[in-house]
Amino acid sequence: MSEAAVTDMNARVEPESLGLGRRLERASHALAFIAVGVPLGALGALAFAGVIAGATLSVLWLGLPLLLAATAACSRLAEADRRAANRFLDTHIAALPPLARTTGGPWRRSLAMLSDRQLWRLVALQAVKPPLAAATLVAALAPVILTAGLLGLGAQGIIGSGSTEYVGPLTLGPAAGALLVALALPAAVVAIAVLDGLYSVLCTVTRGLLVPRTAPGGPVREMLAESLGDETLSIAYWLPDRGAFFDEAGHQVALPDRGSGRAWTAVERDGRRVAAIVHDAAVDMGPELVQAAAAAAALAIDNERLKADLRARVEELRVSRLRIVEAGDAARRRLERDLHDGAQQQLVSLALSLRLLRNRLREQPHILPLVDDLDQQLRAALSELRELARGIHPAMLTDQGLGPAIEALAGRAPLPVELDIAVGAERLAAPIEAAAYFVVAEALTNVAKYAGAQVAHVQLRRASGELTIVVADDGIGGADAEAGSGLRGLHDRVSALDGTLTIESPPGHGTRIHTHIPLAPASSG
Amino acid sequence: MPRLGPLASRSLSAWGRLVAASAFVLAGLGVVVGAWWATSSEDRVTSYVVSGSLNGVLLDLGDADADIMGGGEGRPVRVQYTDSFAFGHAPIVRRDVGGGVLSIRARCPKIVLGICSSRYRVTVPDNVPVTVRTNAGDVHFNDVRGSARIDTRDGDISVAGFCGFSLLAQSQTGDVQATAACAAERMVLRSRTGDVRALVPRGRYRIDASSDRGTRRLSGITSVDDAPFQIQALSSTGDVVVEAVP
Repeated sequence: MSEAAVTDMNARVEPESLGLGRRLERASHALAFIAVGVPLGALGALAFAGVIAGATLSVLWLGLPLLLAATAACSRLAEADRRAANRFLDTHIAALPPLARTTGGPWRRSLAMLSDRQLWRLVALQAVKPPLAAATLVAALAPVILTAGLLGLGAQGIIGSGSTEYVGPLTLGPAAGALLVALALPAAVVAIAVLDGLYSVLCTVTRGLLVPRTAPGGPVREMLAESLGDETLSIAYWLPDRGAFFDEAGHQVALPDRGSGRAWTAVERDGRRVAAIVHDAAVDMGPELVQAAAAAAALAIDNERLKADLRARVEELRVSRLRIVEAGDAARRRLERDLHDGAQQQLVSLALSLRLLRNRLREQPHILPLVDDLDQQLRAALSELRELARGIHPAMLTDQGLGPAIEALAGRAPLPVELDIAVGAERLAAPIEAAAYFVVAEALTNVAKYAGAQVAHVQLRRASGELTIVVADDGIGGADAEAGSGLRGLHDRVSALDGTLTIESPPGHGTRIHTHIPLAPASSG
Repeated sequence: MPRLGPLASRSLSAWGRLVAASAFVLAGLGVVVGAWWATSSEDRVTSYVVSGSLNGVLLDLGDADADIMGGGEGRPVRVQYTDSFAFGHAPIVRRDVGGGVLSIRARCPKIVLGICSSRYRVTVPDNVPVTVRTNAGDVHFNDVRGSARIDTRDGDISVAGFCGFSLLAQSQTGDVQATAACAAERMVLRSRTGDVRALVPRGRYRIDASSDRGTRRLSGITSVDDAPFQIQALSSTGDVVVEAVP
């Protein structure tokens, strides 16, 4: 086994961690979110009651102002929920889309606002929020109160203060007090586990409730689907310079074949082919009806077509960027393999030969210092070459995957690194693994060079169809994302995978780099 | 040596094992304590009679409820109480007769995770003064013929068919209600936050009835300064009613 392999294996040896620091952080964040959620839930109940009262009284034309005020309150409370979730749960929910606005008199504007589906979704959210807040409050506080109670009673028993004489069958004295304090430990573990679990549940539920649901095909598709009574309807836009149909997201699509259960109707404008309406063949809509709807919507469809064209170009650009990154990674892997198999092996072989030579020259001590000097230089060259190879592309990443490679990376870091890796046994796609690895490597290098930190934390999570990477430190903060080329390069690499990379670095409060990479990008090209 | 397959990689993490062990310990303990509680719960009834001439009865009952019954002329004092408790932690009862006064003091120990309660039923002969003190316990007097003094902190007080020289009933937060079968020379009913209600035979009384924040109502009663019978009904925030028995 080569020396390099031995070094890498040693770097992987690390005790299984409880991840208590991270769990406590998540538990405290869950508690904070629940604490904020209780008053928001109470206000949400009031706002929902206002909506009901306003809707009931609107029959008499008196409730409309109340209805409008209550729905606006629901919208603002949902926005407050979103901010709280992003602040405490790290959910990264985008801003809620603005409510429908139109011109005209107050009556017309009110009706337009009240017919917005998004608004009623937010109103429904306020109906769900109070029981959810109450349930999470009870679930969160029960184990916390149990722990605090055990600790308090235990302290009373040990110190001999307080008026409690018995706890269940026990007479409260020093021995029972010690037992209760000891029992507070498992209670605390359960409390942390419950809060940690609630953090995940709240993340999922809040995302489900607040992430905006946009129609897959935009307003024109919605309009046509409604007028033709086919919710499965979609529009394929014709892009003449590509000679193919594309969907709204800019992905190429094929029109359905006859007998596939789907049918399509061409849309033309001024004699030009613009798009095709793809609908359910079983839906009873005559071709005249579809033609009429298509003719009426031709202008709007043509506008949407231009947007689809733009998106197709963006998608093309994204795919080409991804190909460049993949080609770069492949070149890096080849270079690393060549270095490992070629120059590195030759240097190792040379080092062995030098040792043999040293053994033979024992009778000529005046030459030995020269040989030792050569040996030192050779070791330094080998070490530098190994570092170079790792920087180009770590062999461990290719051979063993992301988890072991990150563990090895942390093992070589010049400061303590707390690892929390949950990416599962299944390998990720090579570009994703490479991006994740280089994000962590660059971030740890920056921490060691500039942050003045005592410890760094690295968290990798594979959940909800994405890989989340968080690298945090307790250093001086104040990092500028635009200052260095390393982070900019990483940002480009992550963007090529449809991912996001954000840096929080308030001065004096450390730096956190959040990276989200979807595991199934929209298109791999 | 057996090989660890995919099952091993799907097994609980160190944290998962710690949580499972902790939950197991707590749940196991909960089951044991629950079973112990169920098997050790009991209701114990005790009764006795105190014969001879008594000058008074003093009951200091903590959180226990009390039913005081009039026993008639020359009858002995009968005491019956029911203690409910678990884990063997019964209320502590101290009984004493000194200076012709029967004193009973009962207190539940301070318990977390357990039960302890008592209910007293005491029959007293006519013309024997009775004093009852409780914290959270309710006090009910029924057909007692003799002076009485009742103090509670949170318990309600209800007196029915009272006929004695004086009745002093006061509570901090409980309601106070007294119905007199005959005009008592002095009837004082007070509560800080509860309602106060006095029902007395028709007649002329010196009445001091007032409430700082509640309502005050006199009905069927004539209030005169030189009347031989005095009624004081006071509350800070509750309603005050003094009326004649129909």
